[in-house]
Amino acid sequence: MIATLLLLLLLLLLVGVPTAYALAASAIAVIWLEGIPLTIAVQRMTAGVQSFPLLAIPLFILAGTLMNASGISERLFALTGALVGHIRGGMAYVNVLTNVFMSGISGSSLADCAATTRVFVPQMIKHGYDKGFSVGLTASAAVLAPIIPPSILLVIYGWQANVSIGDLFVAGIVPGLVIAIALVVTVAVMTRLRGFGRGAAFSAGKLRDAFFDASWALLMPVIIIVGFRMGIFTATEVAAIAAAYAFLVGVFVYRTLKVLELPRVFTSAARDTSSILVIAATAAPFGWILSIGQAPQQLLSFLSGFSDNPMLILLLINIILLVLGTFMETLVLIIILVPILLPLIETLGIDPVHFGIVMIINLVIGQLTPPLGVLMYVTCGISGTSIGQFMRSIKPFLVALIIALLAITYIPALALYPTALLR
Amino acid sequence: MKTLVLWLDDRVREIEYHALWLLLAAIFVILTATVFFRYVLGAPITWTEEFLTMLFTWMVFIGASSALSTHQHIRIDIVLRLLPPRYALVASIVAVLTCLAVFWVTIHYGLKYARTTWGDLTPMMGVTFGFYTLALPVTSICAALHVIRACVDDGVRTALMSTIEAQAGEGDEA
Amino acid sequence: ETVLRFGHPNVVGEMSSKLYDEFVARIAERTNGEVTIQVFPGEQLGKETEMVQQLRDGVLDMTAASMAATSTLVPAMEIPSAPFLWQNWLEAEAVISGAAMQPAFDELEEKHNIVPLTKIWYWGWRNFTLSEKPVRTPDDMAGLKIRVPESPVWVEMIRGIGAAPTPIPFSDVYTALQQGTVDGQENPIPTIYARKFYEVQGYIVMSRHMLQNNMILMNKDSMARLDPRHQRIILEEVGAASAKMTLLQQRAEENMLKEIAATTEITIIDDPDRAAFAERSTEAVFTALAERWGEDRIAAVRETIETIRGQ
Ligand code: NA
Ligand code: NA
Repeated sequence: MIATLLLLLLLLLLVGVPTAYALAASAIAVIWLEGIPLTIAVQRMTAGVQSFPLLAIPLFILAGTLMNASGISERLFALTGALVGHIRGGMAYVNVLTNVFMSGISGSSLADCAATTRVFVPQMIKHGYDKGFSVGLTASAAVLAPIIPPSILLVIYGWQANVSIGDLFVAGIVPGLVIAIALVVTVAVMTRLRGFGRGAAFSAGKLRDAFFDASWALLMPVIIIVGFRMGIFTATEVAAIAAAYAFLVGVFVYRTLKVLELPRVFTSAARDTSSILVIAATAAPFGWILSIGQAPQQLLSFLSGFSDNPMLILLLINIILLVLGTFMETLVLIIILVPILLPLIETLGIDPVHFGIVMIINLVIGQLTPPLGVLMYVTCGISGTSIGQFMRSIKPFLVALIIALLAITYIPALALYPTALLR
Repeated sequence: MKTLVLWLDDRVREIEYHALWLLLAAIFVILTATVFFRYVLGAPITWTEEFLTMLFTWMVFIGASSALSTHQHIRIDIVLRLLPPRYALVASIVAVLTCLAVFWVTIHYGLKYARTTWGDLTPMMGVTFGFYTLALPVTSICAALHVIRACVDDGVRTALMSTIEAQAGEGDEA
Repeated sequence: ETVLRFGHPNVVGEMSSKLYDEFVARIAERTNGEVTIQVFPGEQLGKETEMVQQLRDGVLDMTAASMAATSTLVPAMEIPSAPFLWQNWLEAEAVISGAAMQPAFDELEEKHNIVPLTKIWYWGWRNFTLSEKPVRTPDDMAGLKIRVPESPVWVEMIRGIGAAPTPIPFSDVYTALQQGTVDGQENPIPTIYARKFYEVQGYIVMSRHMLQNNMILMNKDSMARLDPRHQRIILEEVGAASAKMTLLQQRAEENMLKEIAATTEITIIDDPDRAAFAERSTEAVFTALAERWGEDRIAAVRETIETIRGQ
């Protein structure tokens, strides 16, 4: 059943069926072959998009579009340019830093990625960065969102593994920073090797002008962070507030947004969202069959016969999670895998809090690779990059992420020392 | 026949265009209002989650259909290049037929599913679940029309080509 | 040999999940492997209400669901979830499995092709937790934002009490409590314990305001296809598990509360003025939902309760 499913998917992708419909067709075929009523395919597709946190995605895309159209992005980047433009790769470092801050608000890599792709990629290209590099960096940096708290994935893990969510949140901070540093190092190496990413010389006068020019724009992140920390709005609502602020500043302060152009802006944000989320919809019956066929369990039992060395098993688990993260939805995987993995983890003497962080990082990295890499689809869809181009440019970042993952896997103190301090 | 398909498809495109911005604008306004009513007025609205997911479901499926018409859907182009060029036409035909088969299933079983869920009522607004379940079959009809139109208009070979691939292709040569 | 698919929302490690696995094993044993049940835990096949739909369509053969989750199919199934309706569990058990609720179960069978293997699967009483304010009376709760599921019973109950019902999606509740988006929430102790809400709350108020009872349900055709001998074995085993669940879950609740009290600085308020809460909320909910649940069905349940109490 599982083999038929995967073979069919590959075949359909090969002949050029759009990803969403290739997933749907292979799932439908297997459901039919198994003699299960086909209404299940329709139910899972509809259920696949009935998730409230997904609403943040079109609104972050909208916020990004409105920030660009209103001139907020332009001013923020003029300030960034004046501040770090003389440093090679300055804009790229700011990209990573922005993602660290956004991770402190949002728990969704997809939503973060939607906003940063819209805003950063065009600006980076404009400032002389290579498109592949810009797209690869933006997608990789979005990995931080569910690792640095708050994080829905960690909440679900804490529930399934019966460990403190508070501890998990604290344990996520340092590994998040380790990943950020790995990306920063990659940026440093690549900008030097490839010779891009340097702007005009530093000037205090220019910086002052840019700062005052950007004052309204600068207020935006302040409002978002303060509002979230004070409990005024939830992580999903942040996206709407960001869009509302960009809208108001664009219409009433900068007067750059034309009301008549808004329908086009909204439709394009909606269409960008949908071309990505329809894949989430059709991946739902696909994942349903993987669950019914007990694919994760089969893979794991295959694995557990291999060795009893904890380090080796952890490495094998990492590999399997990366592979599964490629085919299945992250939330579903946590729910299926945690109960199976946890007894194994505990007999190996691995702390479940530490393992939670490792597991989430693994699964989010899996979002960056085909055939089912939602982060990849978000960046490609919004920036107009082909999957092929994306795959070529993501490689150095994937290497950096995997090195960071190995460090976090084999140095448990990175995750556990801060929680021990707070106890 | 061809003119009829083109005319019909153009009308559907217009409807989708307006439906999309109206839906997203409504989602945006309601979600902002949720924050305002809860924090500023201290009187939270109690039906937004249900209503917003309903609007969102429609937006995603209409948008998916619309993205097919503007060729903004996502394909994994690197695998496409693995196939020898002489099979290109056969592959295109198989791809188009696969899409149409998927749409047939989502229309037929979607309507069946809508019928069985028609009597179920949503908890907060007390409206039929059919408002969710009709989204997929209805938009699948539109999506099928877009694919047929693309075949009629430009030919089967390019019917499922996406703009992203075209742009990237140019970039690769340069 | 028959293979049945059983999808349920409980996670491995929960009491329910253990007991499901137990009856599945016993059924296989007693039928000499002629009936095997494949178990899919933890919402991996869909959410609670979606699995009920899958059951109706014959995609699943068995599922476990709360009474509230089946109320999209049969609204009257929600009547036992009315606030402050019950004085104790025995009373609730008798009414739910008795004649007053039978019309709702008949409707589930006739219109939706679903039969209960057990109508009783004790899950727990729902209680309030609050961030900052010790609450004993409805007045203490005035104006507080209390997170509720987006469903009219909860909304009307909180409104009746005089607080502000605030829907937050379940996945966001922990963070919303932590950031102070809402002032409190309500759930059964096993949920408060499993979802770690106590980590970010200051008070647990043992209001026992609402009963959460689950059911084990089966597709009618799947049931009819079974050998009558096997049907009897299944009903016996599920029934036995249900009785065990009541006992074990109540004991587990006590232990969870003890553990919560031992690990965090949380205050457990054991003596809220239940009568005052009931006065504000029970009638309010019945009035608001009279049309949805059916006046006659509400009356039947309430009369039975009176009769039991009079005995
Ligand atoms: Na985060
Ligand atoms: Na992937």
